[in-house]
Amino acid sequence: MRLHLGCGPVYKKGYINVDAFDGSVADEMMSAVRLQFEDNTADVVESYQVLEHLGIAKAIYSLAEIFRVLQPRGMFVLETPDIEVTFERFLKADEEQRRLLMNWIYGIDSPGMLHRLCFPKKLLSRLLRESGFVDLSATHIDASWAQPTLRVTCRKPDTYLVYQTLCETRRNLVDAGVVDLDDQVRVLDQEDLLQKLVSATKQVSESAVSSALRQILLESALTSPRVGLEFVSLAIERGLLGSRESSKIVEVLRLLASLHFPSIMFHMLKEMPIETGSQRQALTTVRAMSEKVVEKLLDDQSRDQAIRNLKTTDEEMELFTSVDPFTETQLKRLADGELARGRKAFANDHIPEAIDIFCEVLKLDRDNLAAVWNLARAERKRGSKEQSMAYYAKAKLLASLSGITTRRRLFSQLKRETESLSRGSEEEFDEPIDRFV
Amino acid sequence: MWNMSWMGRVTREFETRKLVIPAEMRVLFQRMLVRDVSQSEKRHMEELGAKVGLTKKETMQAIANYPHPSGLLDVTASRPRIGLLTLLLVLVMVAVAYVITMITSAPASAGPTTTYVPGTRYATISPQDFR
Repeated sequence: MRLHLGCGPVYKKGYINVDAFDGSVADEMMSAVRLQFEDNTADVVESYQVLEHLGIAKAIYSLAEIFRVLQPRGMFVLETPDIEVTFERFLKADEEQRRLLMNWIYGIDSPGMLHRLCFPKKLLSRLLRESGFVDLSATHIDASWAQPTLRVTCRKPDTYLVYQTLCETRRNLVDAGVVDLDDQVRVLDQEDLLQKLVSATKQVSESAVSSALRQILLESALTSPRVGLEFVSLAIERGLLGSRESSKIVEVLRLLASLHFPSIMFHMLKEMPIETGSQRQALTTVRAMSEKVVEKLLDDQSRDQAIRNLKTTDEEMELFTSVDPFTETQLKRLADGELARGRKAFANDHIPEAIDIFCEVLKLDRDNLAAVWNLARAERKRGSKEQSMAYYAKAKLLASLSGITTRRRLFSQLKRETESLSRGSEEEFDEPIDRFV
Repeated sequence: MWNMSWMGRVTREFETRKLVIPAEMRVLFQRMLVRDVSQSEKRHMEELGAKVGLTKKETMQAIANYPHPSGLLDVTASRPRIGLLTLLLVLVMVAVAYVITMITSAPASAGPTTTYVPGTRYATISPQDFR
């Protein structure tokens, strides 16, 4: 079987032509991220100018589907805009040429024709390798001057079981609603975890299955036990991670997932002491604590008590934010959302509310300079000079940890504000700060 | 030869009590040193650990001795460690003063003192053996 994915108006004889849009000449309509073909059935898959329409999350899942349906040694050929060459040409081009090149960069604003993300060669190679493809070969071709193209060929290896498991895990995670392909930030965090699990599984020798399983358990427990559980269950089913401890590891992962362990640890992080500049310390501590909890769950003697404690804590936190995966990116994202709310409250002169929200931001991200700086200004506006000075001092400390050019600029701005505060100057810094300029 | 302008700059900074530590060095110091966790913080952490079934000892193991980026100069620390910095600086100054004194008063004694055994230098007989 030969597949032509994203055929659009081009019909290839001898291929099953596939597309997701009605206007195409497809034999079969389906999504690139959910191919309706059996595993290991295609000799060749070709896909021209498709990947750039998907965005990074869906591109990863589409590559996984292509890998899944290909036979071992099956060939995958893809073409996509050569974005690096396109940019080089753009810089040298005149106005009319630039207009043409912009169509190649951004696509066309009509259904299914916009380009969400064009892939630099290195990124594309990495994605293909992380999907399991081997024997990558990339060449540059010019369909026309305004359409520089990257053509990549690669194949599915003979030994493919780990990556096939990864493909199936991804499918199941989407079905279970754990992965939302429209949320790129979460998908990439989940993908990070999956790649760690793949790496641990690939390196494992028969004698070291137990330690690999433990490593997988520890990696998944805090970040996302649901993702870990899905992968490990399939890997055990396929004989990749069979050991005496397998069932115990699966059981612990299932327990952690049902108790919303990442959310519990998220709550822990928020409740931990808030010291300026201590975010790294807080995160490391949470990680170390979660590892100790997992060790207790693996130990038959301490297991029951540990479960009781976790259940009680889980019930107590019913109303708290659910966090899965638990990653630094997700924390920063939540902090950014709160920060925006705080600025809005500040701008509308709801100062006590703004102060409360900025304090919440610091629970999520102790090193958040914007929150500390806004707290300094909000306290100043509330008339609390001492508190304001204390927050300015903290802001200086955080600014000292930034890059040298930025630091100078931040220091000079902070100095101006603190001096004005000490003098009791009329100069007001009574607006929320959103950009450090 | 002393660079006078450099000397002048340092003197001025001392005079105005604005000794400037290069920013990179300050950050390095901050990252190297550990800020003590206060007793109240410890108690709070123990309570948090208990919520997930950890003993006090296990919780302390999880938080112990992590390099704190705001370390020594942490303006928010309950017990700033300026005292430790002062002690370290004094020790360094004493050591430097001792070496300078040795060099200026008895240069020959500045180097390491060795016990010379005749015939052992360069594994052969040296002129010193005949003095």
